[in-house]
Amino acid sequence: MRKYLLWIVLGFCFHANALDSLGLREHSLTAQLTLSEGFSMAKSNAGFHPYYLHGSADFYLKSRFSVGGDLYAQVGHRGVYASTSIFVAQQYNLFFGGAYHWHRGMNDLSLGIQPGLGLSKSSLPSEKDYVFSPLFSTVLNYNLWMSPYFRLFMQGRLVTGTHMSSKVISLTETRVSAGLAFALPTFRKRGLY
Amino acid sequence: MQIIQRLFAVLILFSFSVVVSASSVNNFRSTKSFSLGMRSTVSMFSDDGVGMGTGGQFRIQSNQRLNTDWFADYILINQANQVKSEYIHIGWSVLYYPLKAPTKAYTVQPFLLAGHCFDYNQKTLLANTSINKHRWGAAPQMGMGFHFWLTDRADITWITQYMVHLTKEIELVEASNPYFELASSKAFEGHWLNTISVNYKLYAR
Repeated sequence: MRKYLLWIVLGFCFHANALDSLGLREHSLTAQLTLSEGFSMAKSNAGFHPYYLHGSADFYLKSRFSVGGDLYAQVGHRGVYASTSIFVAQQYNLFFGGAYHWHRGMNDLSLGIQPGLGLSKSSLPSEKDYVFSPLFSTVLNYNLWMSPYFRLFMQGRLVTGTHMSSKVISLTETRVSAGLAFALPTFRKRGLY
Repeated sequence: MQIIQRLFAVLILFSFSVVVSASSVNNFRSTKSFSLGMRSTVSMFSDDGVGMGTGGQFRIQSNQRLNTDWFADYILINQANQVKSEYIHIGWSVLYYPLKAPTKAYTVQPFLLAGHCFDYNQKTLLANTSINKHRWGAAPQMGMGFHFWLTDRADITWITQYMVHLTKEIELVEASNPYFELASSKAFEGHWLNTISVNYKLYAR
């Protein structure tokens, strides 16, 4: 049984490696859905950890450059914080930008810039409305391409922004996510991108 | 199980046998191009204070020395935890490249820029959001920047520019019942904007 398992793993590895060396990762469309945890960097909210449902889609315009968007929906929070502190009770973030990739075989490390918009609501009971906030994020991503159709990823993101309703709350935090992303090799139309 | 072994053997052979024609076109020195990008802006040196914005842009390049930038930004400024100042800038700039375009990646291409935008500002009192005022205006901007080319189509661009508002600014009148009013005269105030963007040439010739 081990022998066959080894064959399968080797098959995936050779396949992913060979296709990368031929440039077939270019024009791949990848997508994933996972959970992400945030670590607030604001002193007033130290120890506050929101967690999010995190979905993203990326398109490799070149083997070294991809564009993509990420959507975060806060599904809860945990952590130790003062009961009197006011935090962001609910937020949705949409980011879009580009990333530069460094490849070596199955390994794919990328650094990206993603401006975004946030829709957030504070924990104040009197506040019912969401407010818009401009956001900026830098993303460090590591992909392990198991095959042209799957990649394991680990992502770290630094988000900066400010929630401004009747209370001003810093949205600056780091977020980590990991999971399995699916990829679909596509082909470009001649002359475009 | 032999079938699985054979299947993977075929898969491996297929991987090595696929031939992809690499693009030999170099788009660094394109004379006509259309690119799309996302941008983040930091607003400084204004009476409002320091703020951050998000936006997008597209570029239409007409020749090797000239490019045009069409942008929209939403900027949010926190005025001493008292007033929320929101700006929307929709405008355009002309980019002039004094030097020849680079021919390889990891190179810098500087430019000068000047342009104009439509400028919307709304100020809201945080303690009572029903107290607010907005105005529309126009604003010219001038500055400089550079593209850092990652590939022949992708770049990171940094722009530093000063934007002057040709309209009366909204001011908070602090009284027992605070309110906003337009300043009595045009002060030609503005903001220093620093923008970082990621762009990609979707079409190049």
